[in-house]
Amino acid sequence: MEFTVSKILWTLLGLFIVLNWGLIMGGTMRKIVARVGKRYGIPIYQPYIDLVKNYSVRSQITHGVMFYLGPVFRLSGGVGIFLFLPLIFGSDHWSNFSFSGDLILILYFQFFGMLGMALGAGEGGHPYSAIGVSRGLSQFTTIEVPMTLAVISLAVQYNTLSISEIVAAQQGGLANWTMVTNPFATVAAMLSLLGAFGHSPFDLVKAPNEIPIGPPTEYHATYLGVLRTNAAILHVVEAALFMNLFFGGATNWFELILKTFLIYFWSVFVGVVFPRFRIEQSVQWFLKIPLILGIIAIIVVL
Amino acid sequence: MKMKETDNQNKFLHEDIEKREVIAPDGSIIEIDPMQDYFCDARPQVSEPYKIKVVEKFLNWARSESIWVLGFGTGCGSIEIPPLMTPRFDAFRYGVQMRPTPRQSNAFIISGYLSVKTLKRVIRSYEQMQNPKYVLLWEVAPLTAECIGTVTIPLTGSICICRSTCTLPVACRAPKLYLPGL
Repeated sequence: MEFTVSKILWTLLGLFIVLNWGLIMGGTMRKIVARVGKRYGIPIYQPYIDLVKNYSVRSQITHGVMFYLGPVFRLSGGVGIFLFLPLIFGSDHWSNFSFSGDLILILYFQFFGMLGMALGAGEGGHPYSAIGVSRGLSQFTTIEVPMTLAVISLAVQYNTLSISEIVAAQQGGLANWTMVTNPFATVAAMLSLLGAFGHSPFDLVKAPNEIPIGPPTEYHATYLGVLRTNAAILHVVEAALFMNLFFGGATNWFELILKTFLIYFWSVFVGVVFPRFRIEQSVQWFLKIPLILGIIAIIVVL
Repeated sequence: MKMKETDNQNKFLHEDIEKREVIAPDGSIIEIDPMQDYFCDARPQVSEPYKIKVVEKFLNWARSESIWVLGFGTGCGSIEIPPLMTPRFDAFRYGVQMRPTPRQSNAFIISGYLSVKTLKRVIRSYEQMQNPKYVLLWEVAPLTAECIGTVTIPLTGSICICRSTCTLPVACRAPKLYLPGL
């Protein structure tokens, strides 16, 4: 891991590309959902307009220091995952700042943003924020269990905690992908991914028509713009993380865009088919089949 | 004459919003004036545009293409708001989205008549919205509001509590009539 000026510039360029792909992918998915509902839907570039609009809205409200810091922590979580995630296998420019123990750090960063947002939204003082935060934290805690079991299974299988080395071990064709060599871990992780992306049936945190908007109820203007920026980055990097762990990584940008699109589409596809769970159903669901599959994945590898 | 006006105003006020003193948990006495604490008595002001005209034009374009709506559904017009998002009318294609919180909304649809009780909610919701914000009124709403002397339509040229941006010229007919206003 080197901290040269050119390395930092390449990483910033990568962040810019990921942000743009995240916005376009988000718009495309909303268009797909609209077509499923037989609507024409938004233009694909609508997330850009929303972002510009949100950044231009004025703000005259404060609820305290943590209210300011909530979106900042959330963005740090998304950008933090990006910084330590190798995007393109075999490329010096696009491997970012990945190192030998990056897998553990990325798992931590997934929770970091959510905890920061919980503190910020809690200071907003709106009851829906508190309900959304309690739901989000309890759901994500149960998501972490099968996801961590799957990751530990991979660490044992490949004998490493470096994402780059896990990707390197999967090169050489479809038969070497973790999807084929360790299907139990893949299924457990892909099921927990549904919860991580927060689409229906696990959209309990924002829960439209129930606790509208959820934690960001009080967030507006630039705060909301930062949250939306983070959402665009986070969707791509989380999909890229799963691509690296289970689907052979990517050797070029086209492969990355295709695979991240399909991985994100998986959660959208499930979302348009199934209606929302209640929180106790969601928690119980993650602690049944995904958890059992995660344990089997560990046993099989040992 | 002045006394009469005050009495007339006070008869609409609930006792919960009268000025009073409350003992805080630490024993100190706090004076509470809900009319001052919950409502803003300042007139709405027009926000200053950005000095660079190109930037302001670009931002105005973005604002017009991304209108987030807070629906204040009173009266017969409220039933016309939900179909806006259905496949038949599909306001999403114009960048219109419904927001359940006034903090994130730019456009405020008041779809029907306002009584004294609902007017208080309108003002509180309006004041929670951030600038720049727009108000869209059905014809019924401002006409009724004029009767109670608080919100009036631009046609009469009187003082507005909500600065009405657009008044639809028709009474409740169909959801599609919202679209030109938005």
